[in-house]
Amino acid sequence: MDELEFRRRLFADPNDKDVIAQADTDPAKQRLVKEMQDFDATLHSALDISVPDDLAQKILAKQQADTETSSKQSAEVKQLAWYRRFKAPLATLLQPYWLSPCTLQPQFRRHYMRANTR
Amino acid sequence: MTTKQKRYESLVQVYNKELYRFAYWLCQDPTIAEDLVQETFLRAWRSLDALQDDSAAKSWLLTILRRENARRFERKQFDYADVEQDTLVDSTSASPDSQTEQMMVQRQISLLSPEYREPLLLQVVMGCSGEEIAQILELNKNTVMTRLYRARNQLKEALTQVTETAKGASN
Repeated sequence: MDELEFRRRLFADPNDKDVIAQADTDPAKQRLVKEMQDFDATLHSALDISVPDDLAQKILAKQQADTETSSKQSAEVKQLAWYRRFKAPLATLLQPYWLSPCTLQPQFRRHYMRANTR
Repeated sequence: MTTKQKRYESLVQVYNKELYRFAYWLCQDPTIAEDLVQETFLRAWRSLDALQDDSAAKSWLLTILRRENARRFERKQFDYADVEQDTLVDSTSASPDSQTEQMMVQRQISLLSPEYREPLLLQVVMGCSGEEIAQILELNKNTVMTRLYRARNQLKEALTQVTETAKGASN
């Protein structure tokens, strides 16, 4: 690893074990490793902003609300599925009753058609 | 409590703070950062079964968060250019001197272009390896390492310049 490669890899990752090992016998490289690790500690501390105390609770509350909403919705979907399952046979059973005035009584049918054409 | 619920709660406990910090430095607004993290975890809950291996959880959550952040721009609810650079929050430093230094570092980090800032945040805030960053950002590892090198190089130069200017002004 030449000087340039050493520097590039150290700047890319100051905790790269291979790079740190390269500095073992070279005090100048050791100083640079120390400098970059200190610099990283400065970056880490600058980025370490405080987090809202109740963030985890808020996340869990939102998930609970979502779970409740989706279980309510799935119950409604089940009810609808039940209704749909029985709708078709029910309609088939009831069909003769509400069709009978039209289909079985020609007089009524004629009257109905006249009323509609007016 | 179900196994799924326990698994989810453990993910929240382990990653909520790191993700918030990452989100904050990504958008530089505490309210948006909080919304991003909440939305990320909600989406994670809805598709938790897709996460086969918990060791991949960090990368998975970060991918969701970055997608949520991108969606924010698609909706045009928020214009990045409008971010007040002065809204940077202070961390838990004690002395005024170290607070000033931290604010100086924060400012320089926020001035980095996103292509350099994001890999640096993933490495320093999230503790991601070069391979993980490459996977999250969909780049090859060499590109990631070059960007990390340039990010630190630019930061060091900028901070040296700022410090020298400050010294010159006080003389």
